[in-house]
Amino acid sequence: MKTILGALIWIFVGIGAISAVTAYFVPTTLEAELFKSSTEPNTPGKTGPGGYLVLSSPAGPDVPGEGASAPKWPAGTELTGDVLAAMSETQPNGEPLVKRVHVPEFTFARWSHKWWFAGSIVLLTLCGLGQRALGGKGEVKKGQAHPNESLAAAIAELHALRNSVAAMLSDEDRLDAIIDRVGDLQQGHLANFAEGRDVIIAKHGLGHYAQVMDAFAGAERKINRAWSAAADRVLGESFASLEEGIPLLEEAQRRLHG
Amino acid sequence: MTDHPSDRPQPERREGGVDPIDLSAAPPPGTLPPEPDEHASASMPAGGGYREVTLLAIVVGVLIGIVMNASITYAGLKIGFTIGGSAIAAVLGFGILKILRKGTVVETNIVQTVASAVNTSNSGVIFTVPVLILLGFTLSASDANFWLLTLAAIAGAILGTVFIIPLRKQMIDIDRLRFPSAVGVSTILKSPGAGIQKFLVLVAGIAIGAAVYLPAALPAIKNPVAVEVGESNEGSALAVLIDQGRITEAHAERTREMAVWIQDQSAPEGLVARGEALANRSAVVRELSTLTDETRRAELLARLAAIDETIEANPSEGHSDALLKKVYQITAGIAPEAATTPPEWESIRDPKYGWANDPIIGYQDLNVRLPANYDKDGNLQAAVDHDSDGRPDLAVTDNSVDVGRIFGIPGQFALVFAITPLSLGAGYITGRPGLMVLVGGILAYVIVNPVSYNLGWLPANVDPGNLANWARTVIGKPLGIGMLLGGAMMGVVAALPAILAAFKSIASSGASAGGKVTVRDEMGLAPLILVGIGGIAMLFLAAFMMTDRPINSFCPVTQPYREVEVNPEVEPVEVLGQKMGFASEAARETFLEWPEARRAEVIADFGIKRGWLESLPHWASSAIIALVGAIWIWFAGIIIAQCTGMTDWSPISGLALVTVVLVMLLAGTGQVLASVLLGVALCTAITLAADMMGDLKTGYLVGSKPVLQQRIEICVVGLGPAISMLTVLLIAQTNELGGVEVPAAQADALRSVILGVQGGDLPYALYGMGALMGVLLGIGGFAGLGVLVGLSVYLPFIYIATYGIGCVLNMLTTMSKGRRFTEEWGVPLAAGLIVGEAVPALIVNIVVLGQG
Repeated sequence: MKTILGALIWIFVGIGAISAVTAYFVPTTLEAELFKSSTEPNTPGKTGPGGYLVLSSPAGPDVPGEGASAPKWPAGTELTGDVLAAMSETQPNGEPLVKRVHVPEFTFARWSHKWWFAGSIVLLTLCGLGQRALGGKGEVKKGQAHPNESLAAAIAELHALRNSVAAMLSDEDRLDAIIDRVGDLQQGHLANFAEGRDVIIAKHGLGHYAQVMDAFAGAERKINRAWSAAADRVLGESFASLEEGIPLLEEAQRRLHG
Repeated sequence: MTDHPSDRPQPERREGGVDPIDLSAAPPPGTLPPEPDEHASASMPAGGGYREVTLLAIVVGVLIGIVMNASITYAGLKIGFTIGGSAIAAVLGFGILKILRKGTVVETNIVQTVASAVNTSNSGVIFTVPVLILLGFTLSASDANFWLLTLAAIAGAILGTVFIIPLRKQMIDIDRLRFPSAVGVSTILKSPGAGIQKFLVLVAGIAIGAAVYLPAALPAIKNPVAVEVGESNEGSALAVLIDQGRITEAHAERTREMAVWIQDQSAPEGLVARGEALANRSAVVRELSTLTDETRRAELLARLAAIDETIEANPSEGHSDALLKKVYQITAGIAPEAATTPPEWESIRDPKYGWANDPIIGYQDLNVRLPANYDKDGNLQAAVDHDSDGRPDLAVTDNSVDVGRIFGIPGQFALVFAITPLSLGAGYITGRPGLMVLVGGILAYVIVNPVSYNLGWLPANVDPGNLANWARTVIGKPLGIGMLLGGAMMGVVAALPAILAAFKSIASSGASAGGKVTVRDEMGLAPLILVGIGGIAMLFLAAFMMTDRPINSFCPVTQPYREVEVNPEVEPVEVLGQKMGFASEAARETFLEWPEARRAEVIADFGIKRGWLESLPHWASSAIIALVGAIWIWFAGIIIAQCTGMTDWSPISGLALVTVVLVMLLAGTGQVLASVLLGVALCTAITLAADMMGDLKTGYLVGSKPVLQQRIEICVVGLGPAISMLTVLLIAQTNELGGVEVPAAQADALRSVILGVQGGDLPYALYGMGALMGVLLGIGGFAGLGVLVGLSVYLPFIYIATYGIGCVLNMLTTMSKGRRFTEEWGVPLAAGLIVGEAVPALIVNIVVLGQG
């Protein structure tokens, strides 16, 4: 159902966008009075001497001009009754010569597809609300660990890493161990926990999630620093960062359960 | 600034700037962490001694930033877009520090932070400042306008940085925005420690990226084409360039004519006469700008009329005014200004005078064209020959591949892919979330535009091959920017709980009570507020002084109309709350003596309308402009940071446009200078906001301390705008901005908007409709959807298409090989692609800068 609503949202955005185009591209078959502007006559780029709107883009087929051919009605042409009549003249195919013209000003009266736009907006809202109502169940994706489990496993792994590194005799071994196991942790439990965002928000709300992630991110940054320092062969900083990361991760866990 | 062990707090006192944490609290229920070995850390070396902020890192960062800033500013004016600097800075910083046998991962992160802070402001400046030159203002170091703009740019840079810092926690820690380029940069920084295999994957990515991108970048390096007088057209260099679609027949013909002039040491008399008249005209107009003697003025005006007749009687025959003036100087043996000897004929063998250029090499040299399909009459089908030159159009240009038309899909569907490994890599790192941008792009360019076109709603004479560009300008930009604004507003509302939590956390950082221990790892709010107030004060000062200056560059009275410059010494006249300048006291008096109707006509012609703040005292309106500008900078900074965080794209020019409209509505439509002033402040602010956030993301991934990055960035951020402004000034004094060689395309787009606001014909309704849709798109499951869709409607599809391929490739590798494979192997390759484009682009930019 969520997928269907998602697809409908895209369809209604498309309809809305196409309808919006007609706000400034208006039918030539409208009454000439609708092309009268409230702006003063002879306003450059907006109105002509008669107070009617002017074309923002050229219209009509190209006709031979001086040198190269040029549009029959260039930009700036005033849309008087005569011009509109010539434009809306019916062709052998039953269509007007120019269906729509690009005008520099918007009014609801000239907007042919306003009800389409309004409809698409209403339906877009309904689909959004429907998606919101259906969403947020916060189910763990298939094959993915629950964030609680990932966090607990990460904490356990960090404690184990700290102890095993401390027990090693060679600094080189310690650094290599940190690089390998922190690297695994970053791509494994920590990434899995971060992926569980929807699950946490669904259960605890965004505010609580923010509290959890605040502590978690602090821990993750320390763990990242531990990796970087190990890669730079600076054992003291690497180990210190690991040690600082553990309580922060435990705090994240505490907040998660709180 | 170097970290010294004795200065560092003890490990147990260092923490990540979160809410106060009680370290004595019991482990939570349900977990059984292994018992820590109490003696374990006793045998470990103490923390500290880890190089992070060092003098060397700052100096190297500043130097790299200056070189990048100058070269990217120049290239941006020439080619219309800029390149992101963080990846380049990371690679250069990494290399330099390694050569010096120094440089840790986090130290290189500081180099990159500093360098990109100094570099990044270039796009903010080049998208806005050159518009003044295009509108007839002059840019000079002796003019206060230049320094006020520089002050505003620096204020913007400071505000952008200061405003975005408090959102680091929300965007990076809580929302975990991806920031694809920042992820790529962190991959580069971590590569030495990640093992030889991953390093090789990164290097392979760089090699592939460079190999693919170089033929797209090298055409920017051009040399004047060699032409032999009397040579056969067949097989000549000019003929090859025409064949490759690089120049037109007319351009080639003009170059041949110039070659004949050089050989004969003479040019047709009519053209020389035109050149003489043009040169004399410039001198007369210059003299009119400073003249007070009415008798002399009358003489000059009579002379000007005669000159104009000469110009009309001698057509240019397609040659530029600059060339013809030069030809006159050569013929008459006149030394140009700032030279002691007259120019030689050889000096016209220069692209800025219209001589054809020959790019050194590029994809277009392959001359790959669409299949030649003919209609039943044996004529080439229009669908494969949009430019009507009798040959199928190019399928592969220097920077794009027209995949749609290769497969026979009509041109209006615009299935064109940019040749940009950087976008491909960024798309790959973004992965599935970026797919929304692709879908939005398809909706706009493959459905909405072609449907509107095929229904006959759009002008029939729009070339189907150019429909995408045309519709983007007329429909896509306003609709897309509206969606972006609406979507961003919705995003901020939805993220309020996270933002509040982040602010609470920052506010509490540094506090210490009872058993709760925290140490500052994040800049506190107090210093940020202080620096922010300083930035707003600078902005106020710039706005106050700028809105007190004449709004017009040309005198509205002195003839020739709109050609004689305003004399700043002459006291301006207040018109609808804005100050109009004049070339002389006499001109000022004349204006005041004119009847009301005539004055109103001139005022309308200069596009001057009342602003909303017209009735307020000058200081109050300036304060409101500065304050509204600052609030808008904050909001726009969030939009840009969200956009780059989610996709790597930043719609800077779109937001500059909104700023200009906002200021012109507030201060009056004549206030072009003030609106550009706020525009440059906003653009530098938002580019630096996005840059700061990207650098902080990289810092997060490598474990840097945010507080150090933040402090350093605030210290150096003012340098960038000053360098960009000086570079633009230098270029403006030696090149014709807006001309063939330095077109300043983005500024030209802004000029259209300014003129649109003055004419009152901006499509405000489309912005509104877009904003409404942007808000509603955020109602569903993903509040940021409006931003993504808005971005895709706003951006050119050719980049979205390539970016989309990257997203799809990420999904495919994740599905087939798993997320871990994608992150461990795919991301380094993608990071390599980003660097593989960015570094050659910088090198090409430097060469272009060197060519002048």
